[in-house]
Amino acid sequence: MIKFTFRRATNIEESLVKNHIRVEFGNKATQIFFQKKLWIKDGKIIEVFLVHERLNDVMEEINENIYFAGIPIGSLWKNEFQLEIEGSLLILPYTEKIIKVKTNQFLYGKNIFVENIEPIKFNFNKGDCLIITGKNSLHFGIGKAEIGSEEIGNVPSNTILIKGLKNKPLDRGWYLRKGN
Amino acid sequence: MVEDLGDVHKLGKELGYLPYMIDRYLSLLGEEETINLLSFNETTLAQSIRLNSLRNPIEKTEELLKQKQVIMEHVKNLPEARKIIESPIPIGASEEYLNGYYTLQGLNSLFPSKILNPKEGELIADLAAAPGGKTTHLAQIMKNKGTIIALEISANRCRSLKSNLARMGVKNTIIVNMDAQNIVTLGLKFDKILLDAPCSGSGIIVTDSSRKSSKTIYDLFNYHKLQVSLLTNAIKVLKNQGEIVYSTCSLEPEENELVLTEVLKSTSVRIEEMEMVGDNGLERFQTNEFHPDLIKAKRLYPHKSCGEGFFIVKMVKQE
Repeated sequence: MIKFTFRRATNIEESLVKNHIRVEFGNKATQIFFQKKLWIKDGKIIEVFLVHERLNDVMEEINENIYFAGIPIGSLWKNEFQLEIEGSLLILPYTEKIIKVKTNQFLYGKNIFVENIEPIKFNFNKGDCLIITGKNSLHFGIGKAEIGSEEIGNVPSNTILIKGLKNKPLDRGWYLRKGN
Repeated sequence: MVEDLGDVHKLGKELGYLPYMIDRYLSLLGEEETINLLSFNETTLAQSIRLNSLRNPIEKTEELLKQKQVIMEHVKNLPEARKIIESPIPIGASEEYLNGYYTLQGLNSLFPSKILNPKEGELIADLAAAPGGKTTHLAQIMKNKGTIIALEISANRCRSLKSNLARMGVKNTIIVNMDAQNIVTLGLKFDKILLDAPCSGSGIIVTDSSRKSSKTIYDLFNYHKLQVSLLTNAIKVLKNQGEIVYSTCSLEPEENELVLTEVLKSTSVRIEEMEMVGDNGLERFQTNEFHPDLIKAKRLYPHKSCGEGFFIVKMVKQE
């Protein structure tokens, strides 16, 4: 049986995660941490979990083979936090940085092109994190802007706005591709 | 037309069953019902879903699916369930599915969690939890309050369990990758426990026809041994007056009544009445006499319930 290390996040890790959310989505978004603790699962991928205090107390009592707890919000890569599917869903009510798409290809890990999106009512820069939704405001996932919002009107319609990444848990189609 | 064949064994052979299975179906059900069971197992079970109120109000999800021309039917006594009558979309891959607004789940497999009836704030154990249909149902009943400890021995199956918990918006669950036979090592005492035990799966031939020939009678005894161990250890970590539901998707008495009869000899639990449809548990089978209270258990036969076969029993610990 594989042993996993599931531990409380260090102060540095907590700062990395919380700062990332604050910088990308503003102070309001940090409300997701209210009455929650951050836990880390070490391994090939360093996963970050948001755990309610109530669950936290039970976890402190269990000291072996915890595989998962609470909400998986993202992962740490070389001291950078990557917000993933469920983390971005938690942020959704607290941000305007939402791109609404007209098509579903992002759910297949494919790129979102400029022509695929509904008109945008906010400004963003290249490299910003953007949350993706579809029809009926259904959550699709999260991605990074390949161009800034001011460029959108000046580039060809087949310019990539957000890259699809099939092998990362950034779009909800991941649950079908890799979940089972 | 089926009756014209006359020989149930011949029919069983034609359909690919091992002979011992037909022998015991005849003992359990008699000739006419055995034919009904074999015939039912050749049908295609209608898809069914559980609407997930943790993600979206049930009526709103229903509306979204109706907009997509999905035709559904309500299910008696299961307000969160819908039978899919017709769907122009792949029901297991829609945006609503990916958002965890619903999950595919057999109707009879909703009963174990409902019978356990976990309350908000309780500490619950779900043993052999993957892929998580029942775990996510428990969380839904608890409104994500309280704590569920979901035990799963297989790291690979932990992955599918994790994926389903995340997709369905479950927040109150801890997955522990361990053999549930060792649950005492966790040092926790539980209010309620669900043991949907690993089993031979003879109740789900309608969805997995390979089971007609994949398990011998010797396999049943191996499962029996594991099930006795799991249930005995589960009872050890139950609080006094705590409740435990034992279920399998097997029709075999060795995995059901015989497990309970053996466990009841060495543990202090009493069997409770349950308010649900189904046949009563068996009093005897072949040379075995079972604990008399097992008539309070329920057997859901596939051909009678038009779903997967299940055995369910509820117990209360009395120290």
